[in-house]
Amino acid sequence: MSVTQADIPTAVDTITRAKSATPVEAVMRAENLRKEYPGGDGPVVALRHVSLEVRPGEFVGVTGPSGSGKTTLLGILGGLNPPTSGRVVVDGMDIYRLHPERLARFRNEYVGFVFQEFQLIPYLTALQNVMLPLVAAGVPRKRQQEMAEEALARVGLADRRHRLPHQLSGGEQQRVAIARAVVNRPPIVLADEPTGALDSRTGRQILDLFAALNGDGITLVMVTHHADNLRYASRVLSMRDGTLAGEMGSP
Amino acid sequence: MGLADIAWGNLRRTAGRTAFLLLVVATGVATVTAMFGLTGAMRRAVGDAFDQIGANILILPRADRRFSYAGVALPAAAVKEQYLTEASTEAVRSIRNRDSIAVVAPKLLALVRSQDGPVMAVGVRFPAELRLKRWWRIRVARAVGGQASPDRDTGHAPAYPAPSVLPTQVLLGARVAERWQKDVGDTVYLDGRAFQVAGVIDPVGSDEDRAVWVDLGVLQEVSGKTGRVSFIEVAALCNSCPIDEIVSQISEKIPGAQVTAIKEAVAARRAVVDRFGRFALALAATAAGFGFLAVALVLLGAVKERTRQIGIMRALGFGQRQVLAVFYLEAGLVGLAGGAAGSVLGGAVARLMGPSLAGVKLPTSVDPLLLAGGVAGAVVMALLACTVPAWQGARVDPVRALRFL
Repeated sequence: MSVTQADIPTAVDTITRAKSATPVEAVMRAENLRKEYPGGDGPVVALRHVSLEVRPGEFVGVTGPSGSGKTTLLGILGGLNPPTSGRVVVDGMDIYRLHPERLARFRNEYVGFVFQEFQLIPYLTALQNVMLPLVAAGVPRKRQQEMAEEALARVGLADRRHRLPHQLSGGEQQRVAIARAVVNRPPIVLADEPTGALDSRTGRQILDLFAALNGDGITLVMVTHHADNLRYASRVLSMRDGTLAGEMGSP
Repeated sequence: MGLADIAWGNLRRTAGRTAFLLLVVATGVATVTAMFGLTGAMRRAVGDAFDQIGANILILPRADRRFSYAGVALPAAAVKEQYLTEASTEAVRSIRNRDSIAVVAPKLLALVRSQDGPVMAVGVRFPAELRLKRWWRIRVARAVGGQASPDRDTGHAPAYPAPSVLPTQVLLGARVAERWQKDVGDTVYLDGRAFQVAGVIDPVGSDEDRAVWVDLGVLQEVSGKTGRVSFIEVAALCNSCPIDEIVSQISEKIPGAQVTAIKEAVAARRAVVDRFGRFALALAATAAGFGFLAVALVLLGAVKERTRQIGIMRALGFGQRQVLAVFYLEAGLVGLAGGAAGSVLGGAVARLMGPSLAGVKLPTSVDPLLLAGGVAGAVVMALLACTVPAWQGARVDPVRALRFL
């Protein structure tokens, strides 16, 4: 996809910096994260003592049983869910110290999200859904169209760009969501159970697509509780009871 | 794509709700526009029709003794020595607010001899007098080919245009005509001079029934009071200027005169308009209030329904201000469309119902100011109604909206 520096300078700058950096320099670093939610019998601890680094070009798989804190961790890394303590550093920024409007810009420029249930806006076409991050970034209309069409072509849906979400299959909707996540070339894409709502064959196609994107240099963090999916990851983090229980290379 | 496209897309998706919102806004604006249109037309009608209401300023010579004519206190000298001059009439026309003067009607009162003894003659300039007294119903000869019918076929003259009365003709008050047994076309004698009865005024229940109405110049000549008038009645259109100010200006121009404002007729009519205005305002405020509440509640419900969408937008990097903007754009579009429809509808309703509801006729074209005001008001109302829902929407926690827990 041909994204020029003028289009989304911050994101591209970051990618450039990340790729030219030494292998140990992280795209994203989480330090001693703790997350508590209010509960009837006092706060419920969802995460504790979680620290990790995501390096450029990695495909990180996060696995663990339900309730182990995987999705909470993904929300915190993506700038959506502030931790009770600890910090997330991206491009030298402690993201939760940013003003809310700046934090929104951070999500727009640095993170692409892929959700289990696609989360497309039902009254917008596939093309318009893909354009959404570009609208938030204030990219000119003509350039929005070009970039969104390129992203859709990349996930194999160029001919379906004018379809509404309900006119697409589940796999196609997830591919639209992936196109939306990568349309402005964020340094990192966070995927939460991206195959959870798909049959196994379609799920594999989605994972193949992730692998291809990762091959193109996109850094991925994917939460999944399917062991099969983890074979696509270059590194796997295992979680249990809100803590990182282990780390291993690709299984 | 822009934020407006997202707003428009959502309005189209929820077509039923959008139609309901448009209906609510249009109804509210139509009510407000119709009420304001009617009230405005009534106020203008009061101003425009002051000459129909009658005189609202009386100019008299200064004097101490008074007696009554037509319910108006007159100085005793009015029928004896003290008079105004006809030049006073021109003086009234030269005041600063002369544009507000609709009718200047000078009068000379004189007791003249008739075949049945003395009678009160009122010398008037008929065009001005008849314009002033639109409530008079005058029975005149039916015109046949531009001439009065010779066989005394009579009928009531229209108030407008007023019938013409020649210097050789008179109008008789109802009781005079009855007492003299005279009718339209007959000849009467005043101080030995013959006059044709041009018309008989239907009873009005006042001193006017006992008077003979003669051309001012003729009466001045007959009574030997050339250039003199007993008093002057003035109808001023003081819709846009205080009548007291006009009174003051006339007093300055005619120093020897006593100028008084007759406010009762104006005040009574204005009170009716004001009452209607208050009613209209209350109705308009109620309609606007209900519209506001309906829009606010519907949009508030829409926020709950759209929590997930807002969560998606927030996750994708839309700031709170951008989410707010989407809500305000939706409300603004509804206000714009509903306001335009309501303004046109309200204007039409006002025109249709004006004559029967308020006794006024509105112009056939929609007042652009009222239209623009209706649209602007609707947009402002919709934006205000949207404020709480929009803030609720902007504050949606994407984590909860997307179940990112």
